[in-house]
Amino acid sequence: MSDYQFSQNPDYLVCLHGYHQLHALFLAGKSQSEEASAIRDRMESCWWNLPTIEQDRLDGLSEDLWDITATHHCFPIVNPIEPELTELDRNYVELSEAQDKGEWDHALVILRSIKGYLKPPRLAYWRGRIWQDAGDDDTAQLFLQYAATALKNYSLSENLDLLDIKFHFRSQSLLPTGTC
Amino acid sequence: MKKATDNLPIVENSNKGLGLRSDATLGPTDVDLDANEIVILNGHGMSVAPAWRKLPAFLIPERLISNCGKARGDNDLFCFTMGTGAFENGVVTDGLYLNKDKPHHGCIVPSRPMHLTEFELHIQQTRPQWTVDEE
Repeated sequence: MSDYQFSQNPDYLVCLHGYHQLHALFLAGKSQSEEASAIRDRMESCWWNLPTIEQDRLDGLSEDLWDITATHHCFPIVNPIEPELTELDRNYVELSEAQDKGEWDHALVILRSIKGYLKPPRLAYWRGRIWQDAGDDDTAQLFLQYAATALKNYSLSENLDLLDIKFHFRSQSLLPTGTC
Repeated sequence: MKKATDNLPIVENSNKGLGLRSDATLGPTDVDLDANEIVILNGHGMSVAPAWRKLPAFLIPERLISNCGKARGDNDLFCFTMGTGAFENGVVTDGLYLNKDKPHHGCIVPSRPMHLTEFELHIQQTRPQWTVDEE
């Protein structure tokens, strides 16, 4: 596993926190407030100083946060047909390799391309772990908290593929014991 | 940019209008000026992008979120486009030049040394050429 971590440069952090704040305001129904407008202005003054890779990462984050908003709910899960399965397998291998190499941005892009095939808790959990591995716990928590919440909507017996996430959250005390 | 009742962008020297921020006492500026208010040709000017989906998420109106999941911008703003050419360095109009500095960003800059007022006038004269593009 690589120890490459995402940037800590001040302009990047202003934009990153800006997206966190806009996400929170969106959830609170205040995304069109003066407060939100002021956040956007602060972000713009820093945005153009960022390298393209960081701009792409943050724009991707904004898109991924949309997947975990309460109003958006879950997008329909696609059951892949045979030719897609082969492609999907290739994507999983590529995703795994990207994570092993610490290519967090690439991993997030791959996840975005296959999100239609993943259950929302799995997708959010995966994203959370990538952000965590990239050294950004605050962003990771946004996705992990959502995954823990969304997981409660899935019965254990019918979703054995989500078991590992459930056990992980239990061990982290993110799920109360007795939750199935 | 803000939209006027004629569906064209509002001329305004802010980051939300067709214009230039040049007063450093009010915040970030789009241009640098010499002592005589001549625009310094250093690539700075009015920011533009090759397509509205290439704008940063916080500049894309949130009302477009169903078409563009990253949109987190002000719903009072609109995405405008101008011209049909490639997003490459080149002449925009007489007096204006597109300086592409990143794949998804460029600046409309003066094509020759000119006073801030003249530069602003050139920008304003493009107003009829802008149309809303949010498809």
